[in-house]
Amino acid sequence: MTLVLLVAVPLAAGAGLALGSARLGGRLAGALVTAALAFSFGIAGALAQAFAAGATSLVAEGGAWLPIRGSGLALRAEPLSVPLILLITGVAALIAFASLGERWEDRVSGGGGGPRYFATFALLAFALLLVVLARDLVLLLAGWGLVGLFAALLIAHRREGLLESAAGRTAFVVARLSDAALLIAVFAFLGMFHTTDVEQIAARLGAITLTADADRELRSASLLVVVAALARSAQPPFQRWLTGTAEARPGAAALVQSLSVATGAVLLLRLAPILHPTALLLAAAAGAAAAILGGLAALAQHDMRRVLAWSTVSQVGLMFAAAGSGSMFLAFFALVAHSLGKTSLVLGAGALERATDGETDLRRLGGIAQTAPLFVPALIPGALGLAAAVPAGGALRAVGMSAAVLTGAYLARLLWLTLGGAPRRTDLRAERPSLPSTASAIVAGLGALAFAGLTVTGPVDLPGARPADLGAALAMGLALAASGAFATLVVYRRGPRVLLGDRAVRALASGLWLERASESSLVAWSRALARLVDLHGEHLIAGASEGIGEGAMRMSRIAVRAGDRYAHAAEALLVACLVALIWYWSRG
Amino acid sequence: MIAGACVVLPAVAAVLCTVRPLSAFVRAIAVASALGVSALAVGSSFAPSSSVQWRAAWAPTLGMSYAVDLDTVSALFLALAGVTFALGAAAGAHVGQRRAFFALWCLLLAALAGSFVARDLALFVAFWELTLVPVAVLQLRWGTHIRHRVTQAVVAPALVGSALLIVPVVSLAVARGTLDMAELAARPVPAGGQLLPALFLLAAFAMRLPLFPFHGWLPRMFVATPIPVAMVVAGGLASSAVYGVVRISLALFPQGMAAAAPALAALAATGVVYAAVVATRQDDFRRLIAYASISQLSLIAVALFAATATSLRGAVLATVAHGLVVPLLLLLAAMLARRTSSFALSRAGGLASSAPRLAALTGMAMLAAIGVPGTSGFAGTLLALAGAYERFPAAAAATGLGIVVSAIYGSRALARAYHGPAQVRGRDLAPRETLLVAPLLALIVLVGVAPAIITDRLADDDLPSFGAAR
Repeated sequence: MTLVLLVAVPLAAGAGLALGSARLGGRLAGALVTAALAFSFGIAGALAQAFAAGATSLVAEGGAWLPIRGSGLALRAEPLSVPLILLITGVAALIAFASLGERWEDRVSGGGGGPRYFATFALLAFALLLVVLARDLVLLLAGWGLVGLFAALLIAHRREGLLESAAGRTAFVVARLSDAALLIAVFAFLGMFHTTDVEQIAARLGAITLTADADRELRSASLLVVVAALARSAQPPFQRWLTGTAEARPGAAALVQSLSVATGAVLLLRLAPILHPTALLLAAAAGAAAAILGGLAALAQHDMRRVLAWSTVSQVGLMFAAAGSGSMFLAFFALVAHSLGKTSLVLGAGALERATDGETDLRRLGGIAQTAPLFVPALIPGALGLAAAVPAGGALRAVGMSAAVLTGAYLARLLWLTLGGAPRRTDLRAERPSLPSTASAIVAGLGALAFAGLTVTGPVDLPGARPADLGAALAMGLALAASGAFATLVVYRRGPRVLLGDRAVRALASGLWLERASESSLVAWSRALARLVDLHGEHLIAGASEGIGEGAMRMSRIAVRAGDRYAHAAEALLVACLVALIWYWSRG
Repeated sequence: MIAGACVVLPAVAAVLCTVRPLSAFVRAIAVASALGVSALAVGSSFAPSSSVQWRAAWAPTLGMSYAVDLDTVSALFLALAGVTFALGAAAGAHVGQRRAFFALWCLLLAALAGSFVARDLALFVAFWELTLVPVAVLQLRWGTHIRHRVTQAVVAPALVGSALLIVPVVSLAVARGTLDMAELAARPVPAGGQLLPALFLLAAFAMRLPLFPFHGWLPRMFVATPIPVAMVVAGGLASSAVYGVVRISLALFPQGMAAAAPALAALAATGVVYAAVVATRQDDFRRLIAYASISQLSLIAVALFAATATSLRGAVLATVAHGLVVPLLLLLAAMLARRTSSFALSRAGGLASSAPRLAALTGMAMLAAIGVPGTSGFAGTLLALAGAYERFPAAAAATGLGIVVSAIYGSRALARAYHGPAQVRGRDLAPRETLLVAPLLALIVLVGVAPAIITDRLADDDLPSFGAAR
């Protein structure tokens, strides 16, 4: 019952707002969703206590759904689920509270404004919980699809212009690609193990020795899961949907960047016991590459929001690297620290953007610490929390060291170019940030720092084996991040500088041209194919369809004329057909 | 008797519609008869079989009889058709020559109901052919300026299919001395002789479904015919073709279908991707819906040709989903066109600001067409492909590409019609319009959230046995 309540409360809040909220104001809708998510957080806390008291698994059965073996409306919480449900409900509640500070008076085009936004928000939280708690792959697939849908809707929740809608469209197409990959993978698992229950599949996999064919089949299915996870988590070459979300509302961007985008890593963590080692290795390699590439690209961005988006690509890459290399503890650590730190930074950056009347270009910002000092506590804790999310030890030693330097560098550049120095635009006067946004950003940032500290000192435990050198790894990560930050501050102490040639900067800013490649791989092929098909295939088919009509009319005219001359030709033809058919049957 | 009443009720309504003093009530008569058919179809599930079926002699020497019955699949499709016909009639408030229109409307429902309840092949063929008559006349009389050419393009391929349908039926009458479906299923044609008649039958069903590459008539028809007629064609005729494949092709010629299945599944999987890709290029909302419909029907065809217990359940569920979603989209397209005086998406930008409810409902309908979780499309697609994957993994996997492309055409259509700079302003949905849309939307969500209300009713006996088909 508790488990059902945990999921049902955000669902009821979201569905209720979606169905009957036209007359509600944005703030009231936001307050309702914040309260619902806070209530769910409380339930998650109660569940955590139950697990701390010794429970190993909690199951809630809701009856049959589809006649597929192992599937049903059933939820299962395991020790692995506990940090995730606490994180989802807690962070979502915090961001919903922060969103109360946004402007909701204007009705956005598309109608609904605030209530629609908060309804989508609550439904996204529900879908995230479903991915974590679904007992079987079919329900997990449903949750997975809903995460993609609601994340795209949240991104596309526009204020004005077409840009956000285009970003939402890209996000939706990538989400469906991810859905399709997972769908086929689910079928493959069902075909191999005759069930979709994750626990049963793991048990069966552990009890048998795979033949060469079965091994190949498992590898294919696992690779599809990895593709689905990479696409959902905006890992190259699928990062375009995340880096294009520059115009989303701060709250939407915060939820998408902190939780929704990490769903791919959650999927890997949940399904790791049933995935083929080759696929996990690929996930680790792709994650490591994304961690470095994302860091480099973040360093080359001029737009504050794009810095954060590429930073997310990098941080989630670390989670993939950890999950793929079997270090569940480090993957969970990176996930929680990233979610809290990124929530803080995105909310802080959103508040800054609002206070500066939409300015996000780092070359035009600066000196905010002088004009609006409240932004210092709104941005610094999140940045520190994010820097602490990069352990440079254990399974992540090699990639972690590079990522830590880059993280320190791009965060220092971001903070210095916004807060530090003298104001670069004389007409820009930062207003005071809104209280809910600032308070939420500070709480999330301090939460990230507290989480890192408590994990190292012991009170907080995470699923998986705790690395022996965790403290050293985190200290090393922070030291490297500090060195990266120091080098950046030395370079940028006099303001924005161009260190490399235009071409190199453009290449880095586009993620080594991956932006364009991503655009082409997602949409261009479809456009080209559509043009080809529409120009040739469809005209041919339409011509054939009309040709049959024309031909039939012509034939009927001929038949009428022929009928006059050969009265029994039609009957003869029918009889001939029948004779041929009967002869054909008699052979068998 | 209930099965017979499903045909008689709309036939009587058709006659009533022609009576001049009742001309003020013809639409109400059409709606009531369609809802009556739906109620009878649903009620048949709870009635004893003796009160559902009915049998009378017709031409015993030719092996023909008036045998009608309702099983779970036919009752489901008939109930769905009743709902679509009722909403289509309710939406047809502005048609001219109302008595003739609604008389033909009821006649079409009677013919369609006949093809669902017929348990004799000759009777099935008679009703199957009869459906073409009102469709052709409705289109010829009430269609747009290109109606003559389009009617020719619609009717001629259908007649070719019908001619091919008649050949195996007559042959069976000669070879077996009966056309009773149950008797024919009990005395199957030898395995070696099943391929050719299976293909003949399939040609007729493929034309009507329509299966790629025989789909050319559907986009033309959607453009040239009144929206209510397009709604019932999408909701009713397609499901009758699915029913024909399940109840006749697969039941009477399982080995023949099994032999042809790999090639047919490949063709259908190609159709899923092909139609979705073509849909991304459409500017006319009706044509976009037509291609989306073809893509969905091709997916259903993949499941039909796989012919496993799961895939057939999925095909039935997906057919119901298709029968709910496509009429709903057509209804919304008509409402959009009423505000922009055009079905062109490019002329309707930014309408969401002035008609937010219309935008939201179209968005929900499009998401259902794409098959997002929580809608009937998701449940149907998932079950159909899960079953199809058991037999044709490559074909099922290829349809995944169609799922991706469906997101492109869906999101593109919504963005062009409702977002971006406002090109037109139109009033939002009136309560009457919302009432028309709401039942279909409610059913879409209901079937999506609780598909068991359909799948649990489909017992193994209701679907052809496929052990023999392998």
